[in-house]
Amino acid sequence: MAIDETHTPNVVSAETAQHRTALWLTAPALCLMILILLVPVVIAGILSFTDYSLGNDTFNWVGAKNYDRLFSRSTYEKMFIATFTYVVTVVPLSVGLGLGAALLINSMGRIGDIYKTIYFLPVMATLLAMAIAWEFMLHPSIGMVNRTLEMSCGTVLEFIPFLKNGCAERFPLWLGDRDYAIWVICFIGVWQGFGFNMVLDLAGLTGVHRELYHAAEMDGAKSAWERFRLVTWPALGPTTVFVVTISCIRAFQVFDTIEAFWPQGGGPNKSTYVMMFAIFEKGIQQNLIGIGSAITVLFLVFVMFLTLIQRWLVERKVHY
Amino acid sequence: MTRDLWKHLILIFGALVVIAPFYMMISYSFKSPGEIDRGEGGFFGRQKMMVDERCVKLRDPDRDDVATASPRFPNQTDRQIRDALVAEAVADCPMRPIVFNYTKAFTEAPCFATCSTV
Repeated sequence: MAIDETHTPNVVSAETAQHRTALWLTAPALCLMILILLVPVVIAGILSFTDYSLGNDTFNWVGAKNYDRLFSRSTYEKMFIATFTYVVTVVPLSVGLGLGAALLINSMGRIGDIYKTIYFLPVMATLLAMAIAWEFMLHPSIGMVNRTLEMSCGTVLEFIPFLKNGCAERFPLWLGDRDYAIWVICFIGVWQGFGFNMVLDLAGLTGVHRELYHAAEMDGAKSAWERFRLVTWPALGPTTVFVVTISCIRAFQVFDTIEAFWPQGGGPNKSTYVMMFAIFEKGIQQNLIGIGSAITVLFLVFVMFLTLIQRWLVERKVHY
Repeated sequence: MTRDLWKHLILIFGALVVIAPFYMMISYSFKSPGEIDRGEGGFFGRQKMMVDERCVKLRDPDRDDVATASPRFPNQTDRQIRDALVAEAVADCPMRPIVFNYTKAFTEAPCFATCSTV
């Protein structure tokens, strides 16, 4: 007993020393994290309640006026519509096509490697440079897209209403038409993003044991669809959640293509005026730091919300 | 076998869509601006000699050049000598589009201090 009494203070002091050492060891990383991640967010949050412009010595507190503008002006309404249209279109398509391509490629032998390489090309390419190639392709008169569509004129394909109208009048301007511009951007987003998702899905598929398929077959899962529904899909759960989250965050961050196509203002009639472009335009081009910060804060809220959903799904729903 | 064929058809269609912009980009890098605008010349372009306007501009004759060249062009006005020098520059600056594009890519793309001088 006496031994215990004499040893207890030593144990406590050893624990305290250990905690102190741990704190010292984590301090550099913690400091960097606070400096690089948290401080800018806090500053953006504070600036979003001001009318600050770069170069000014002072600023005025404007309360929630910047946020009020975001939810009351038609330009920002277009911003939300463009951003959500992009996210809602690109994420399911790029995830679905990525998974489809991964399943097809995974079922092939070595020849699948060729497709894998081709589909991964857009991920490696700089989107800004590729946007120029797309601009040429979508040119209304000399572009490959409209020329290919023109080839259908006078053929049986002309029964398709879109082609019929195009042959009778003219094919769309694509980048100059407000009805098509956002869909073009979505298409390029899917084109660029699905290869990355495919690679992640392929990595996930390598972790699905063959025995599971054999067991499922013995249990009566005869068709490919049943094997996919009962084995592949549940096994790919964590990968899919990760892929969806990454795709969402990347979709919210779309900027390069819009800046390359319409450097002066977010597409025809602001139809492609997405959040990232709005942040750039307000904060950098127009030096309206307050409103730019308010959009940034909203952007962070969306991304954080998505990340929280991902964490929740990973921890609760997709364990198998 | 039929199922594999379908798989390949789907994947090939996807590959064509993915490759199309790269195909365009590479093809355009071989062609002259005129061929790109008119959409002709196939993948490699016709590779007809074209005049490098930048090269001509670099040799744009000033008064000193005209004065130096005047013995070569007797009984001609300054204007005529200047036109003759420009014609010489045009004759000295032809290039195949492929050479033109890739030379420019290496000499002008890394646009540091040299771009503003010309």
